[in-house]
Amino acid sequence: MANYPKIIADRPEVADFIRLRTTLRYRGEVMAYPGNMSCGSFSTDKAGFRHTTLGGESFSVSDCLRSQRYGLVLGASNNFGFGIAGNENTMPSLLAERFGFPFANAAMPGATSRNLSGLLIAFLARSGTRPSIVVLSNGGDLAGFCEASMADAVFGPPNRGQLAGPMKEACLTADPDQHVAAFLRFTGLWTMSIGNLCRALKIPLVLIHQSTIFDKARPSATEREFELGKPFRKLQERQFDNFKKFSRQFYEGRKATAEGLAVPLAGWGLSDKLSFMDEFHLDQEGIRTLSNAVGDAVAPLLG
Amino acid sequence: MANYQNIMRLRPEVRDFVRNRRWVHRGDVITYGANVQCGSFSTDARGYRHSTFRGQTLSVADCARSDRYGLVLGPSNVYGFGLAGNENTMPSLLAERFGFPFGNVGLPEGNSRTLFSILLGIAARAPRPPSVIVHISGGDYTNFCYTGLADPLFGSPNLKQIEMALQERKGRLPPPEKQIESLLSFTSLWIRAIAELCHARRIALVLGHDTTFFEKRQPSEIEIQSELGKPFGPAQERQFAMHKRFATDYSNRREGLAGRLGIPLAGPGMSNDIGFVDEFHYDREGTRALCDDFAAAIETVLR
Repeated sequence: MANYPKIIADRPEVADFIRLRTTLRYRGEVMAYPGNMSCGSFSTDKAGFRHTTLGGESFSVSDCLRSQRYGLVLGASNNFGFGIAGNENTMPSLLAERFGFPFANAAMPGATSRNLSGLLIAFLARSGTRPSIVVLSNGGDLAGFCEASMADAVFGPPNRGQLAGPMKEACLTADPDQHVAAFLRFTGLWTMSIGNLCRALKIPLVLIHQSTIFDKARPSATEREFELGKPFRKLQERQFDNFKKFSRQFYEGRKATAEGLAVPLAGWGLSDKLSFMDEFHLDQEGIRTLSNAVGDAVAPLLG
Repeated sequence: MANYQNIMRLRPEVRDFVRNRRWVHRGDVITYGANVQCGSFSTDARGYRHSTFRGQTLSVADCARSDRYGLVLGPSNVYGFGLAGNENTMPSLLAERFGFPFGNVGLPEGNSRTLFSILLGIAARAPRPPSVIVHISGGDYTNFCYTGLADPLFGSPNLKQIEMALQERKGRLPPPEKQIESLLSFTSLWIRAIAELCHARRIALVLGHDTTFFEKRQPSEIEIQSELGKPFGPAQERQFAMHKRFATDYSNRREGLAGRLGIPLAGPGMSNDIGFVDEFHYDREGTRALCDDFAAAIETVLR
């Protein structure tokens, strides 16, 4: 996946994030970032969520939940800001600066919408104040499916810990065509469930139409230099093929879900507008561009 | 766990369960193997044990297509591990009693978060919601006792993740007296989520106060011969000790929660005289006795 030695030579901060990948750990059945991590490029809170900033102050997710007014960004590693140095440069921090109240970075590695729904249910149950806005990226669903080539209609794809362990062989032989219908039902079920929960509690929701390098028709010179989209292993070959084959269906489903829920879809899906650090993670400029689009969708929803 | 050689000699049907025990990944969750057919039991295409109603064998999907149906959600004691005859399981007994089918949603160590997901999937996709749910949360606790690890949102690692979760921690496990608080938060969160879902969809709900051999007042002759309660190896020693140590805390939490939510709690809880196949699974009479308690509570909520 990407030519990381080249990327690191150009962007040394990425080395911190590569090391982070080796420290993922189980929280119950789910993979999470380690808690209380601090390095030159980023830091995480006690629960393993990346800190966000507002006015130079650092916020954990629980700090945000205790605030009078706050927003939640639910997502996977792209919302964590994998590869983006500086907590202040992540999407939640950019939204916080724009709107003047903190946004929590509720992102987990490869988080599926089922797991994000779990986070939202728990935050709502345990926080005295409801969020003013929820921003959801369900791109972890597609990433998980493409990596595993399999999914269950209720539980989605297996997580990375399982892929590296007991599911390794099964994923190499799984036929993604046989699983794609279950996968689309899975992502629809849980994205809709988050939408319905927000609607029932009158919390505005914005869905991010996040994309990957595979959705770009014309990669930039830097992206070509980093060899984004070139598989370096057998499993990556399958993973990348899956992205090329199934992302359009996934985006169409996401669009239909957003329409069904009557919530804005911020971003462009298949587009050349965004710039990437690796196949799945935006670079700083890309994050800024997408955050502006998300902010534009959030603004009219805030009372 | 128990002396299975003796159990299989005393109860030959248990061989079928030992021989045909298959744990299958569905996403990050473990279920039983699908389409198993043997002398003692059978499973449907999703790995749920068939239930019976008026002589018919029913999958969970068959039940969900019925005009009126109930679901029993829980771990392997709902599945009926060791209990020969689909007609002798809890859902089948309740079906005969109430005159409509009950689906057997029993999974290996099925926890409340997993069971919530299944319920949400059925509620969203079935033509009609179930009329009644019996939720047995004992899997939250028994799963915890394998490792003493729990997360307040995501529970304990599942049966096939235990080894990986232990490796990650390099044998340095946090003190269980701290982890039990997380487990109690987890169980409260997801039992409440099930209750809220049922309330929103006007589904009657009963919580099962399930129990184990460790809470039994006086073992029977067959249980003594089966050496129930005797650990075989250090892992079981730890598991059984953990179970005995925190069972009252778990039971008290469930009682308190049921009281606060105003939901009937049916079953013997911390003291019982019912029959067991092994430490965690009921024999035919034990299952029947529990179902009598559940049925009495169901009658009050169906009125």
